[in-house]
Formats: sequence, structure tokens, C-alpha cells
Amino acid sequence: MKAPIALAGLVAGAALLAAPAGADLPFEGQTLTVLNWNGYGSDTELALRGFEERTGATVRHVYHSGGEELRQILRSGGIGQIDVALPNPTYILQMVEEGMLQPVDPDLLDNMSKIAPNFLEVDDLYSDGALYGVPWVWGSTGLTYNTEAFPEPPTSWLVLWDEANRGRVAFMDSPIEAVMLAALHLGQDPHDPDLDAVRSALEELHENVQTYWGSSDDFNRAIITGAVTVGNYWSGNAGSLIAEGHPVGYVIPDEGAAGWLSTWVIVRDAPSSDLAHAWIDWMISTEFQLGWAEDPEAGAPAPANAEAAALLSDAARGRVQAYGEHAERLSIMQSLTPEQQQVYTDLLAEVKSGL
Amino acid sequence: MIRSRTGGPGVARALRPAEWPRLALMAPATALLIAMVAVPVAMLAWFSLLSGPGVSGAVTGREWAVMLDRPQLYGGLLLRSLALGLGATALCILIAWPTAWALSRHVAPRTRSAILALLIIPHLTSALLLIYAMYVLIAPGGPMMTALAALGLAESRDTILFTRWAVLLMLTYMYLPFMVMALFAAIERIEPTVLDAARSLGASGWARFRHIVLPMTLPGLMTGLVIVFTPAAGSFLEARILGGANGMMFGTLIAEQISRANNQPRAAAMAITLLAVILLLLGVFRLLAMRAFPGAMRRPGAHGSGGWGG
Amino acid sequence: MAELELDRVGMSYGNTRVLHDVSLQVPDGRFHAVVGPSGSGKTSALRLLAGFARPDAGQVRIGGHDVGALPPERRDLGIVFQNYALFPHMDIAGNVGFGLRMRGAGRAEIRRRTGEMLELVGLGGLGARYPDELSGGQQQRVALARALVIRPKALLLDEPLSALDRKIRQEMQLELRRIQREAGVTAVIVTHDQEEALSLGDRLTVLDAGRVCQEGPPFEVYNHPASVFVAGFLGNANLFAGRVRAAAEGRVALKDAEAVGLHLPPGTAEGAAVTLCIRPERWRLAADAEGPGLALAGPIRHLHQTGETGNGAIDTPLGPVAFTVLSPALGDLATGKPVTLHATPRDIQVL
Repeated sequence: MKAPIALAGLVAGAALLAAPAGADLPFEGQTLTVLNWNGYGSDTELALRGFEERTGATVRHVYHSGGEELRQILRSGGIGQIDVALPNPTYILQMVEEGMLQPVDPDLLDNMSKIAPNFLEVDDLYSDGALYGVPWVWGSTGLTYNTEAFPEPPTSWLVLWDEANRGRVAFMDSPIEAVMLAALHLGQDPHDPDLDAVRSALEELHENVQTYWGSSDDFNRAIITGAVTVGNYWSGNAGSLIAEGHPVGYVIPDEGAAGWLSTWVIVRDAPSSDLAHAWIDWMISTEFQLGWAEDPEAGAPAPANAEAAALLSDAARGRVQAYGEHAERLSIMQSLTPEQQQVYTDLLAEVKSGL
Repeated sequence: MIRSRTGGPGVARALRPAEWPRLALMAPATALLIAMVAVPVAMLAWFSLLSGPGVSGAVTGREWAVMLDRPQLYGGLLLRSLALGLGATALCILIAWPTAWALSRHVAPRTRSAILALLIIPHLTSALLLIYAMYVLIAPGGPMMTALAALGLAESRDTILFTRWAVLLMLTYMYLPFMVMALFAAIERIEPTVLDAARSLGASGWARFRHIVLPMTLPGLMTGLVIVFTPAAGSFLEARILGGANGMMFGTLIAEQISRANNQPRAAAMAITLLAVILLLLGVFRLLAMRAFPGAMRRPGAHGSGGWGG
Repeated sequence: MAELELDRVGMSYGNTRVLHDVSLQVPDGRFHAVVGPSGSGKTSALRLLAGFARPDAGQVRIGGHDVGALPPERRDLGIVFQNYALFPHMDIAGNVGFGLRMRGAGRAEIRRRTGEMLELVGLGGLGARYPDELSGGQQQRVALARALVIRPKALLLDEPLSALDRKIRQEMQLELRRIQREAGVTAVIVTHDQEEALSLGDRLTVLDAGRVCQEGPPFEVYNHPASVFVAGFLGNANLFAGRVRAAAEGRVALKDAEAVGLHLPPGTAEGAAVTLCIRPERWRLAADAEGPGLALAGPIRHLHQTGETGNGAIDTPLGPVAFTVLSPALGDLATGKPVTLHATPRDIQVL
């Protein structure tokens, strides 16, 4: 172990010597450890180089393949090693209860003021009034339609219930999305609707549904072959279809839509809390968010930074579906209690069974 | 089947030294059977008594009560799955019998191996791949519908995709090779002279099938029934992708209880129910077969013939 | 019961001609044996009679009627197969009663006739057993009962005893003969076993390479084979090639010996090549070479006793010569001892 440390010191020393006079990099020689999905923005050249230029620190990545694994890594030695992570906000509450996270100090984030305000209203970001998750990017589950079947873009979820579209609807096979969509359609609180009314609405919708899609492959295949003409679909995937030239359109209907956020959190006992804050501030900066979204190959979702969203080119905006009015009409999905998960699961199962 | 050769019931009996090798040889299989069958089934039974979600709830039997409380949903889905399983099995039998017969009696051995290989090779890939292949095949505007449209039998935009017919078709395709194999093996065991003998005794084509081929392939048919009906009745992937809005099966609900509601106890209760009903049905089929052809389901040599000399 | 007839039939499998101009006539109630080596076409002849094959030429007649258009299931023939071909999934009563069931007989009649038939073949009381619980001989009797219970127009037997061991085979030959007589049924047996053919048939036909070589009562054919092939195939024979020296005296020169006083076929010319056929049992042990016929002398090459007879061979300039004598005569013989074998003209067949 001695040699690498000596080597690291040598490299750091060399960097210090090589640094131009007057450059005052606050975290020179330090390393930040990020826990994230592989290929999800934070490990791009842009992210790594930009952060090093600003702070002098290098970034190390640890990858996970889902929320469960993320927590497992933290449980088994990640705490004290990992600085920042990117869980779905629906996990934040449980992670706080498990003592995995430390609060984020918004005053240390210069770019906090640029986050679109409605994203900061999500309950799951807070525990006991303290902020734990910082919104980074977002997406929505909006109305996706075949532009040949609908020359006039539909503006309401009502189109799914329209008898004219019997057997032409692809509906997402997800209990929480189904309940939220039905609640929005009924004008109810998507986080606490009258479930009997929701059930009736979904049973009515079932008559029109051609297929309950389970993966983006399913939806793409169904709408491209013409087996369906309309449905609810993820913004990013719909944007890809549009970018590829398929006759597809995407809107957030007037009633609103369910949406999701990716949020940065700081792990308890992070080796450097200040460096972690600096990382998050860079991640939500206009420069990074704009740069990531503009790269057509990067597959970025919509930026939570409102300034970046406003500066997007038309092509990028269409690809990531980052329309301001979309963001305003979103209801961000929140964590469900186990009881709610059971009830929602059974509700959608009963609807799908047709029994 | 284990045949007991011991004395009276309840009589404890010292093992003769000669039996040790036999027990030693049986030990790995017995251990495997216990580990792979008895333990999982016992765990399923135990889980099913707990209260979900998770498997740390109290023993209440609540999940059984929930099931019994909604006979329309759970019973309805069970009937749907069984009907689909039976339908696929019946189609497999109808297609596999003549196929296996032709392979055994009318195809040269070399061609036969090639055909059997062609039949099996697609099934060595992932099931998901086969399902999506079927999707493309029957999709509106796909090859099958285009061909039917060219023959004037259908509109090319019509499709059976997203109907239970598509699921039935897929399950039949999925399990056909197993039924062909089971029946082929059974047909191969019929001596040609046995059929000649029946013929010389006045049996017409149908009578030879009814009195000779059917009963003599019955054990193979029963094997085929087990390996086709059981997975088909418990399937959900095929229905989920090809069944569209009609694709909800009993198996779908089991899977969702685990993946979405984290309710292993409910899933266990459902799985036990499915298992019990399938075993019951297989038992009934076996009984019917034994009724119809008492000699056909006999284990050969069960009465002590065979073995050395004679 | 009916007469069976093959009338100058020909038959091919693909490009292979398996029967040439074969005729066979089995009068009502008689037992006819068709014998030949494998590949001789004897099984094909049986399949023609049974209806499992069609002739390319000629006619198949049962009871005088051409049955060319009748499938096997409508020919009313009982067939016994080499491997018995019992129905393994039916008990013995079920096997025997099958033909009656196919004919729509009532339950009571089936039970009665099946029972009678099992008695006839000596298997009374075994009706509830399954084929795999019976010995080979018992299975053969079931096959026979199954074929006979339908009162067939004729019984066709395809190598029926070849799967049995020797002792049971001999017993079954007698049984077969008895049962056939009692049932009074016309029967054709196909076999490669010349002993079986000789002991079972009222008449026999020897087939070779798809052609009829000889036809007649068994001992007629045995004693007067029409060809070297028949002589060699039916039983053992010592065959000696020779040339006619003097036709009137019946004098034939062999390689290193001479036979005199032989009954030559009429019209045999001087100098003609002939074959002398002498069955081993026709030799007599002689003190000297005397009298007409043929005498050969030489040391005994080997000897062995098989029950009531003994077989042996002597070394002669013509090669080893086989002989069979009754056991008591063996007492004086020993390997290496020179003896003289003598056959009278009556014992010598000139081919």
C-alpha cells in the first residue's frame, strides 16, 4: 500500500508544481467517490473534466444497477467511502431512517436558486424539514400518440377513454402510474385519490386498452407496427422516437402527468462534505446541464435547472422533452407505503383481469 | 415408485448388510429430492401462512382469507390459466401425434434426426426471443397477416396479436417439441408387427389407432401432459407480451405479488393453489386413462417377470 | 377353411425383384411349409397371401377367389408372427378376443370362444395374465390362439418357433401340428429351419432367390432333391462331383473312386457331369468294398454322439465324408481307425 500512496503524493506534488501561478484550486489532490448507474451523466468527459478544472479534485465511480443494490453497497462498507449517490427520491426517506444520509446545506450550493421551484416542493426530498435530495434531472409520463392518427395533438387524457380509440390504447403496466393518471383524469389529488373512483375509471379504460406495456420495447413495437395509436409513455423514450423520425408526438395533457426526478444525496460520513457539495453544485450548474442535454448521444433526461432548460436548442428540447409548461404540470411520483403498494398492485391486477 | 419389500406394517426391522449399497446409491437422489422439492414446497407452505408484505409477518393465514374472499378474481384467473393450459396441451397433442407418427414410420432416420433438431433448436434460445419472434410474425402488417391477406383470408391490418388466441398459439408452439418427443418415444416402442397383427385380425385404420396406438402411447401421452400442461397453466410471460389487455393470467398475479407488492405470502398461497389444482387434474387424467385402458398404464414387469432368465 | 393359391406371382421392392413366377397351391385343411434361406422370398410370399404386399404379376386366390383388392383386415386370415406380436397392453383374454371384438361379437360369445381356444392351446386359466408375464412358449400359444379364434380361412405362420429354444421348439412343432389338425385349418408355415419344414408340412416348397426350386411331400423332396441346392439346404448331404463313364452300367467316375450300378436320370449321356448326393445316414459301415454303389475308405477324422445316433467323418481322397450311425455301432469305432463306408445305388441320388 505504501508505493501507491507515495506515488499519489508525487503526482499531487507534480500537479501542484505544474499549476499556473495564482490558480487557487480548493480541493487540489482530493478524490470524490460517486455511486451511480453506469453511463448516467456523472461519468461523462464533460462532468469529470469540468469538476477537475473547478476544484482540482478527481472523481472515482462506483456503479450500481438499481435502488436495492445502491442501498446494499452503502450498507456493506460504502458509508465512509462514498461521498455522493443518486437514488430515486422515493428511497430517500427509508435511507434517512437507516442512517445512510446527511442533510444537504442549500447555502453551499450557488446554483440552488436555478432549480425549477416546483421540483423543490416534492415531499420526498425532505425529512424533519431538512433537505436531503437535490433535484438533478427529470422526466414525465405523458400522452404519446401517432401523428398520422391524430393530426391535431390531443390535449387531454380523455382521448384514452374515447370510444373511438377502442383497442388502440397502450397503457403502462405500472400500478402507481395507473393510479396517478386516473386521479389526474378525475381531477383528484394524484397522491391521495378516491380509489373506488380510480378503479371505475381504469375499468372503463380497460375496454379501450389493446395492451398493457411492460418495457419501452413493448411500447415502441406496438406504436411503430400500428397495433396502437395512443398511450402513456416516458418522455425520454418518446423523445427518442421523435428524434428517429417516427410519426410520434408527445404532450403533457392539461390535467397534468406523473413525473420522476433524479436527486443527488450526500452519504453520511462522506470523506469530504465540502467536496460533495461542490460536486452537486457542479452537477446542477447551467453549464453542465446544458452541455449534457445538448449532446445527442448522451441520452440525457430534462434538466432541473430552469436556466439551462430555457437555453436549450429546439432539437435538444424536443429530444429531452424539456418544456417549461411540462414541468409545471408534473406531479412527481412519491414513495408508497407497503400497504399502498399492495392496494395499488391489487387494484391494477383486478382491472387487467377484466373479472 | 418405491416398492416396499418389508414385513408387516409397523414392524421395525434391522437393515441387512446387503441393503447398505442400495441405500448408499439412493442417497444422492434422495438428498437432491429433499433439497429441490420437499424443502421448497415446505417453505412455500410456511410462507403462505404468514401475513404479507415480506416474510417476517405473523402466522395468520390472512393471505388465504384474502384469496378466498375474492373467488371471482382468483378463481376466474385460475380457470382462465387452466383453460389456456388445457387448450395448448390439446393442440400440442393433436399436432404432435401425426407428426411423431410420421417421423417414426415414414421418415428415414437421417432426415428424422434433422427434423427433430430443427424442431428443438429454436427452443435452445431464450423463451423471450421466441415470444418476440411470434410477435413480429403475427403483428398487423407482419408476414403471417400479409400472407393471409394475399390469400384473401384476412385484412393485413387484422391480427390475433393481443388476443388469447395469440397466447394459445404461442404456448402451443412453445411446448410442441416436448409433446412430439414424448409421443415419438412412445410410438417408437410399438412393433410394426403388432399393428400388422391387429390388422390381420380385422382392425381398420381407426380401430388400430383406438385399440393399439392410443393405449400403447398412453404412457408417453401422460408424460407429455405433465411436461406441457404444468408449465403452460402456470405461464405468464407469453400472455403478458402477446395477450395484450387480455393477457392477465393466474401466473401474472403471482409474479406481481412478488415484484410489486413484495407479498411473498400471497404469492405462495397462490402458487400452492395452482400446484394443487394442476396435480389434481393430472391425477384425474391418469385415473381416466387407467379406466379406459387398464393394461396400458401398467408398469411392465410389475408382477415379477423380466430380469434374468425366464 | 379354404384353399390358398399363389398363381405365378412376381413381386419387387423398388428395383429388387424378390419373387419370380412363384406358384403355390395349398388344398383345404392341409399344412404347407415354405422353406428357404434368408432372402429367398419366403416372407414376401407370406405377405402376399396376407395382403400386406401386392403382386406385380399373377394372382393371389383364397378359396378360389382373387383377393388382390382385399386389404389384410378383410382377408379373414390368422397370422402368427415370429416375435408373437402380442398386444402388451391387453391381458391374454383381451389378446385372444381381439379379433372377435373387431368382428362385433357379443361379450358372452367372446368370453366363451376365448376360453375354449385357450383350453385348446393349453393355457386355460391364464386369461387374466399379461403377455410379459408368460414364457416364450406360452406367448407363442397365445399368438396361435389369437389367430385361430376368429376361425380364419387359413393360418399363416411366419417363422413362429424361431425365437424358442430347441427343446420347446420341438414340443411346439408337435403342438402346432395337433392344433392345426384339431382346428382343421389350412396352414402355411414359412421357415428357414429345414427340420421344422420337414416335420410340419404335408407338403413343402423350397424357395431360393425368389424362385421355386422344388415342391412336394417332405420326404419325397428330402430323398429326391431336384438340385444340388435343395440337397444341400434340406438336411446334410455329401456331394461328389463326377463324370458319367458308362451310362448303361450306371458307372460314374469320381476324382479318385468309381461308383457303379447307379440309377442315372433317363437320357444321361456318356461323359456328362453329375453330382452324387449321399445323406450321412445312408452310409453303412462295411468290412470290404463290395457290391454295386460307392465305397469310400479312410481313417476316422472325428466322432461325436448325439443321443441315439452318432455323427462322424472320415478322411478320403475326396475330402472329409460325413456319416451318421446308430449309437450301438459307435462302440467299435475310434478316431484314427480306418473304416470303409458303403452306399447302395438306392442310397445314392444322381443330380
